[in-house]
Amino acid sequence: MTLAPNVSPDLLRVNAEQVTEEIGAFIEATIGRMRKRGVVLGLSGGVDSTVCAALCARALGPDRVLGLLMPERESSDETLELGRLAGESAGIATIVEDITGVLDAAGCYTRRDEAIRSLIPEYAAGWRCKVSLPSVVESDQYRIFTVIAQAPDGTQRRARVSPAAYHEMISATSFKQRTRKMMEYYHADRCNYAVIGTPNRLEYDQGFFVKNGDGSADLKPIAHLYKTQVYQLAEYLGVPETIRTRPPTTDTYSLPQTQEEFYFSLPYDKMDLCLYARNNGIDAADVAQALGLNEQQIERVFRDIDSKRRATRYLHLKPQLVAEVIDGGD
Amino acid sequence: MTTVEQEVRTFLAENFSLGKDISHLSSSQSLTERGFIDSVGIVEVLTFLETRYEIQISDDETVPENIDTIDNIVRFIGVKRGTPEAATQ
Repeated sequence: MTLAPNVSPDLLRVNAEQVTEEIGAFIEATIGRMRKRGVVLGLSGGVDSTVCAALCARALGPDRVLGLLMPERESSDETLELGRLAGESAGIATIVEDITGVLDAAGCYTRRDEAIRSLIPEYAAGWRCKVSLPSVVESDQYRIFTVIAQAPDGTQRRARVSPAAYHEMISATSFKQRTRKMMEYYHADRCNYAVIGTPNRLEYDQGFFVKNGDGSADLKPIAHLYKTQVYQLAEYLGVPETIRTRPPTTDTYSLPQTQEEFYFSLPYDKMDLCLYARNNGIDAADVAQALGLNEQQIERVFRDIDSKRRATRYLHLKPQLVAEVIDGGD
Repeated sequence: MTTVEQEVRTFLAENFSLGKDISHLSSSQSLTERGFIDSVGIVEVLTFLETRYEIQISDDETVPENIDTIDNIVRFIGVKRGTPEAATQ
């Protein structure tokens, strides 16, 4: 146990100018060591990728950064618009790659829809869907996925996701992240660029990414920053307010879905503080007071943090070898 | 060991331990806290229990007191089937 500090969001306050310089130096040195000419990154219109674009543009010069806008037919309307805005604000070139055709050809939508129909037989063309988890803070109930399907008339059906349907739905929808990454590496190879990964610390630590999808990259410049700190950098870097005020979204399912609903226990600012407390041995009681929750609720969040770390550990592993081999080093 | 416990152990071994022996796993040990199963694994356990014992498990019942150890599962199945004494046989 650590002596209880004054637990507040101020614990996560950073010197944005200094952090920007540190990350810029890291990007420049890493790209130089890799003998690459620049970087490519996907722009979702969210704050993480926009901050990464701005950091890369500062470090390397905007003409050495390429942004990719990769909507598909289920992307929200604002994804493309905000992605463009992100590129403009960083002063970088952007290319639109609509990945719907690739996803269609791979069976992304049909495979997922068949899995949903195994749970909700009425699910058909024109319906929309998402998956959600129960709140961690409300009860001890295990976090078991529920699929929610909405008919064109707005009526909703819900069903507990069976193991087989869960695996099918997740593997099918992961075509989206993996196709985007494939496209990023196409442009990276074409330009002799490196690929930037844009997870923040919450996502990286808690395994909120698809292996060989958005989890794949040559460097991840903000993976050490809590989401709250990414917002601080966003403000310092002049990221447009419309991007800074957009709620974090998965933009993966056809019904609107927040990250909190799909994965995390709490809104990002509270989740940040819980993760910081967990990492720094701060008692649940002290965090509870700061967040206006009770100690039992924070203990549940701590258990959920530990559980996700265990469950997603393999996502971080390099391919396992029988014996060490020379890998070429740096 | 009760029949239910034996069947649950066999299910856990086949699905979460590559079919290898799990006699080292105490019946009072948490299945989730030691990482033996994750939240998807919980659903697999629920599906097995509902199918094998012909019971319905509501979302409200998916709590550690009912599922997190082999002992808890055996007790819970006994209650659901109306034969709580089975857990102590």
